Amino acid sequence: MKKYFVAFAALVAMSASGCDDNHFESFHEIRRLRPLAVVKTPPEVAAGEAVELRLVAVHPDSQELITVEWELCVFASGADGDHACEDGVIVEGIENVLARGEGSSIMWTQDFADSDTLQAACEALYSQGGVDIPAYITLPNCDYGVPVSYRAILRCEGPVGCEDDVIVYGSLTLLIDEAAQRADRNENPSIVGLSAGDLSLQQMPPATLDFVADEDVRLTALVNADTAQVFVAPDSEDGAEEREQLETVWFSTHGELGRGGGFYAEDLVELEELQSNTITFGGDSGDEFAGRDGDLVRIWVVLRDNRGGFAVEEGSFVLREVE
Amino acid sequence: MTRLLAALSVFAGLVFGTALPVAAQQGDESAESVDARIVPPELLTAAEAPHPAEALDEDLEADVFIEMDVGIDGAVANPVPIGITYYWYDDAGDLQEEVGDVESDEWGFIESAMQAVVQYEFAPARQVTAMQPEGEIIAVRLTWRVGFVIDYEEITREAEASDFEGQGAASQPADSQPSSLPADSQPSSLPADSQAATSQPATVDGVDPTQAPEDVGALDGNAPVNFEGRVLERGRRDELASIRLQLWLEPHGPAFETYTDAEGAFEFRGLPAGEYAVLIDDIEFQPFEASEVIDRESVTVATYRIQRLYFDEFRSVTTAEAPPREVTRRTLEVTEIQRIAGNNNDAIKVVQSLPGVARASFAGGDIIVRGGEATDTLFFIDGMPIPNVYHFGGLRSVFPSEMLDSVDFYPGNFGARFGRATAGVVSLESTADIPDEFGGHIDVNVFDSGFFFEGPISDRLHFQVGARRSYIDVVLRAVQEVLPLNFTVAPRYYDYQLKLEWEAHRDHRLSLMLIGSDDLVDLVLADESELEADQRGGLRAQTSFHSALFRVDSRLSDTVTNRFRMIAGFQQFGFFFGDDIRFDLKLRNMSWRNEIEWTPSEVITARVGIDINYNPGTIDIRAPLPPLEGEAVERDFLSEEPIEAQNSFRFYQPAMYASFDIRPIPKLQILPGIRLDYFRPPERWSVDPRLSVRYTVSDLLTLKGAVGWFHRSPDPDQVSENFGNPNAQLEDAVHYALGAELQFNDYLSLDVEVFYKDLNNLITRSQTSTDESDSDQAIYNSEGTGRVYGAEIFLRHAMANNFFGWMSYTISRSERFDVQSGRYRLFDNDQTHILTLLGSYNLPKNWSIGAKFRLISNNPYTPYKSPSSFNANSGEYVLEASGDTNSRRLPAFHQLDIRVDKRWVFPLWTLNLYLDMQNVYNQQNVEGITQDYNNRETANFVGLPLIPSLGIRAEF
Repeated sequence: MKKYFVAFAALVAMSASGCDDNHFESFHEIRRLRPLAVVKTPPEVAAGEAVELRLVAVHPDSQELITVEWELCVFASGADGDHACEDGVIVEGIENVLARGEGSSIMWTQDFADSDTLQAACEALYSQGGVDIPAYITLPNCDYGVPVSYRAILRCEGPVGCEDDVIVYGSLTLLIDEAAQRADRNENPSIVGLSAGDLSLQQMPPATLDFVADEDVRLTALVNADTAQVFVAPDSEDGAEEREQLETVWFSTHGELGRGGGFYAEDLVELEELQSNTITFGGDSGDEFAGRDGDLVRIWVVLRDNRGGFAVEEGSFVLREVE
Repeated sequence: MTRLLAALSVFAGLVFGTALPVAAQQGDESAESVDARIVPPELLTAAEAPHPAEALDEDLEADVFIEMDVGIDGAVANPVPIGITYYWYDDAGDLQEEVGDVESDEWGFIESAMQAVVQYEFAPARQVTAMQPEGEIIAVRLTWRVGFVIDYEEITREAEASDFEGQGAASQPADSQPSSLPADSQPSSLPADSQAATSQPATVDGVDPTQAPEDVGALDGNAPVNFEGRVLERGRRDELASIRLQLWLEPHGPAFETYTDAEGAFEFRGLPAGEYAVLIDDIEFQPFEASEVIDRESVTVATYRIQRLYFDEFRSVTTAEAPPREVTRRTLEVTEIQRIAGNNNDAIKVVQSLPGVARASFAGGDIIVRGGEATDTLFFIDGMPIPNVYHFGGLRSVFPSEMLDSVDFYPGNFGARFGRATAGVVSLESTADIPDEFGGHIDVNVFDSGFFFEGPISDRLHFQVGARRSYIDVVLRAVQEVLPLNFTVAPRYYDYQLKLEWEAHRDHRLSLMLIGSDDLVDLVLADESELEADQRGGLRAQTSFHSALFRVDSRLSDTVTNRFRMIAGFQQFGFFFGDDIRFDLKLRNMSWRNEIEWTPSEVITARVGIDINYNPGTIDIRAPLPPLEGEAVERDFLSEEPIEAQNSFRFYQPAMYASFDIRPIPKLQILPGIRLDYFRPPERWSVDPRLSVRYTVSDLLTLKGAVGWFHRSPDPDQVSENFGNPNAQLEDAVHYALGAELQFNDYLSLDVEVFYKDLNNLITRSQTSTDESDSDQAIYNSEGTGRVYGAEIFLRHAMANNFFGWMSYTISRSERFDVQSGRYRLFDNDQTHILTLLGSYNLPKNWSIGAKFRLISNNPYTPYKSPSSFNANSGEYVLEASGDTNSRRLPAFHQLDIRVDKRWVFPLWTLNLYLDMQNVYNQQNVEGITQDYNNRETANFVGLPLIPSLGIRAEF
């Protein structure tokens, strides 16, 4: 128990230190090449189905060209931040590398194994004598589905460039037959609209937003409550239904967001909290990222459910400072 | 002829204060001997200390202070001059004084005094305990004053005779009297007996301070007492023994004198009626004068309170230090260490300044001993385990220092009496010598306020009671009303103590102590919108314990002593983070210990004991597994998959031990021991043989060496049936040590030691997947190994010349074997160099100043890849190591702490104002490295800035 206290104290100390004047760039400021999300459509895939993985990456300069190299490997044995997929056979009859490609998205069809083969391979992999996996990692439920891992490398190929390549990795779930037949299979959530005050941010050309320096501008990412699906958790003992929890994360190229994101959980946190945010601009008295008269402001909202579904919405407007 | 006066005085305070037994040469004392009382040595034969001729010509007087050993044979050894004060009369006839330098006494007082004291013969000191009321002869070290006083009456008479003879001679002006005496109270009016007693340097029979009050005037010893009283220390209630009182019958004498006894009492019989001037003029105290009217038919009773010139906390040390049972035990007297800078009066934290102890991060209270984990070191009070000694992991200890007699620190190779620890032991001894008069203190400082009272209930029953509470929560709430903080936080702690000490019988002593502590941190964000739903509701951490400790010490015969201890209580540790994470442990602590000590001869002492822990409890946990050593905290363990369980459990840990103290020859001490332990869980036995040897080569040099085996159970969660490995092995360590102790003089010593530790069966995280039905595939295994080696140097200056301090230096390397890389890596808290310099100096007018400086290699850390990769599943960047674990090191740590004390002394109480400043020059010491969201940018996060802590303390 002392270890808990020590770990807790360390975290608190580091968190407090994070409040220090270290001038770190905020996670929510877009000042360089940034991956925001990988939207998988659909987020869960069954045998014979196609899936699109779309990497949403942004750069403060919209002229910058971003290239992406993809690779997918079977189960969780392949890619992560440190490792690329290795060619070879992972279990008998199954090649490790499932796909490679370039572009902001990659399409792939789960045709390398049927459910029986998949389940057998899963059990072979995740039981004793299998691949070394740190014991504190939660193992896949082979009766429901297993993960396929993907890895993408982002590079700037345009005139502005970027300092470093960025590696993105993650996974998607390959459903076993029975799970594939479920009516509550996960789907991506959706954002209905994005606005600043009464101004829609999805107009082209971008609308103009009048602002007063250092005064809050209300932002809204309109989300319908029913985009949070009702489902039965695969490991549920009583088969009780529950509703997905949703989370938004906000990003902007200028200004200071009131908060980084919001949550929605039925009966716990109101939908309003998920949808609303504020942003302030410094005007002429602020720095170049504070938002000045004439700046084009781009805003992104990433919506995520707690089963792996994603949606990303982008909006923009031009600033006009008023007294 | 010129006569000189060599008045010899022992100040009871100093005698007691510096009566440090020459422990290694003494009889076999146990650690419990701290409640012993020392009867000072009695001077039997003194030698003349001639007044240096040149000084005499210049009418110069002096007091020379000498520290010296009085051995068990009564002989004087190792005399060291520690102070000299010169006296003379100015042209106005006023007495002047000046403190001189012992290194440059050009007059020859010191040489004369030194030559005299080595010829003294004493009846040796005795240590009296409840078990041995007749006392045991011991060697002590004491401070002695040799006074060189000119007898002007003799000079005058000689001058008159010389004048008559026409030879001329030095003479004292008629008005050159001690200013503290009435003008007409001439020393010449002293009765003849008094003259004999005070003017014959070779015959000091009348000034033996260890005797009961003795009249020195021409009084009738059979007459009834008509003047009595006590001499107490002003501002305290300490009875002052061996203080000389001088009476002058107004206006022309005669004069009388006597000394206070051990209780500070004095009495005169048959004093002639009249008005007396009372003078107490002692080098340690401010001169005191009073006037008393005394008649022969009634008893005049007086209490005099005299004020100490220098507040020397050492004076109250009555500890008769036990001879070592271990190769290295570093004992700190509580009064000694309370004034160390940077500790806020906290005696227990001083252990962190000793050799072998690494610096704890975040100014925490972890005791990291010789490259072991903090949990490898255990704390005991009166030999019994205690779950927690610090509030908030290190801010303050849970015991007021006044309840403690001493703090023993064993950095390794501790005796068989202690078990279940593989690194070190910190053993606190509560004070058993509770004063016979009521007293206490009230302390107010920036952290907390508290009180402490002690005193007698009856002749044989004494009590201590204390309590303390912090007010950080109150302050923060007040701040929140002014500042728009985004959180509400309620950190607070309190502790309490109650002790009853009962001397039930000459051979049996009992005590009952109730102790408790409660810490709470409750942090709630005003705006929780950025927290995930299940993390809302705040963060709450609470830890508490409440225990009763019962002890019985019995002398069963002249050679057999029994000590029984029992502690019972409960503790709770709770950690709650929103609705999702909780760790709620409730534990009952029950421990018993019984030890029999048998000393059949001077050659051998045997101790046999049983030591049982029984801890039933319940746990309700839903939390990620805490990080192990070598696993970076930065990985944010709170975000990991939690484990969940609710169950009850029982820990049962019985043990038996035997240890021996064998002295086949006086210079050789062999200390073998063996300990048998059983641990359930994980249902394993251990046998720990241990051996220490000390050899006294000379008074200067002692050699020592030790080897021993030590076992401990893994932490409770690591052997849990639900989420640990109930079949885990016991962690073990083999300690090897070699060293030497050098005692250069009475106050300067050097302790040098090299050590090696072999660590085995350390708990590590399993690297293979788990099958819950197969415990061999559990989350933890016992495959870790490690090694630690290094050297320690401890140069210590005991209190002398108003100064004490030490230098401790440790050079070491602590490594763990990394299974993945196949190489040894550095331990999380490996600190190659640890240098601590500290000292405290007493200044005039009750000021004192202390300082502590530390220069330490900082902890190693693991470098991470920059920039981090983006985990699209979680939407976060994840730190990934780019090098070996702990392959880089943070910048060196250095810090200066200063403490200043000022004391005001009032008749019945004292007021102490202190300023304790940590990190005086506000060094930005690095405690770790923090990153931006993707580790593209890093910055150091630094430790505590300059923290001035102002406190006020009233003692009475």
